[in-house]
Amino acid sequence: MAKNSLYRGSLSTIILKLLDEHGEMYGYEITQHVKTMTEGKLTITEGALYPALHKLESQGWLEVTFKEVNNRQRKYYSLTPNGQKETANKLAELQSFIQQMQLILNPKLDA
Amino acid sequence: MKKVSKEQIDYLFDYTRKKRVRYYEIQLELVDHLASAIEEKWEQQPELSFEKALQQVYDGFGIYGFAKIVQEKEQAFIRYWRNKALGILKEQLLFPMVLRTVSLTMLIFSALLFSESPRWITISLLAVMFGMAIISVAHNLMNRKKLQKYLSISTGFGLGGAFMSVFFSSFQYLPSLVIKYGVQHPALLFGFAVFMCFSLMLCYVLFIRIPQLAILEVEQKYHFA
Repeated sequence: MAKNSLYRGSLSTIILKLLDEHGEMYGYEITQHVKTMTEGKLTITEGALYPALHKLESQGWLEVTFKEVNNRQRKYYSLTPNGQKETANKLAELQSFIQQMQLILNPKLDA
Repeated sequence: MKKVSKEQIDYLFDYTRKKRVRYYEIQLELVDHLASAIEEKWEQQPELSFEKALQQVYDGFGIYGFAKIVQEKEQAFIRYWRNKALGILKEQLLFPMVLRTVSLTMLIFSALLFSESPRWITISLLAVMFGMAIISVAHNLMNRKKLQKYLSISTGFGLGGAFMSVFFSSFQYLPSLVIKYGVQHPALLFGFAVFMCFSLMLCYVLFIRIPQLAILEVEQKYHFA
């Protein structure tokens, strides 16, 4: 749980990155994909995932389409052109944050 | 592989309704999520009953269940329609729409300046705004079922509704204020014309345009429903 709290601030970036790689995904697929990628070490709860998806959609970064699958309609999310730009910004922001954290956690002794 | 049947899908819709998820947009997404998670449970335990699998999946939503998702979705729609309204208003200040905005302002200013009764001009403008609010209420009543079914439409109409009471209560003193101070000062009268033009545009966007867009978007997005 404590570990998950570190990821929480990056949830939007994780979602954007996954959609950038996969084109379109549905909610449950995103949770399962993250679980598989992290070998079960990170689980995105439904209570966090859907609000994040709906927020990104309301900001105009995601668009949705519906497809009928196994007797039900499935909502697929994909990036809008603005969402693609935002993904690049968010990833650059996260990379920079990781570098800064590394500087703090592993300071060079000769510096 | 065991799949959730059509009857079980209907049951899941009922289940979300019983858990106080009133709106179709959210029900639809939750039903697919629940069904996908149940099917995955069946892959590992094919003998597990539908009811037990559903309970286990629902427990995964935590102590707030679906409530947090519904609440956040509502906030997301409010933000969405507010941004949409601001976007439409901004367009009125950009070319070519700005030409219409300036013409309307000058028309109101001229009418106030040259009319023998600027008070009645003001009252007429307020009546137009009030008329738009009435149209919005009528539109609301005509689309009652859609409003109850779709959160998007409900929040789209709600934006104008929230604005209505504040707007009209602050407007009741305007006609007499215009008479008292405006007529003697053309610059003040021009400022008032700009304000009235902006108010007319705001009423149009909130009472007419956003509700229209909300219904249109839902009809396009949920054409299968």
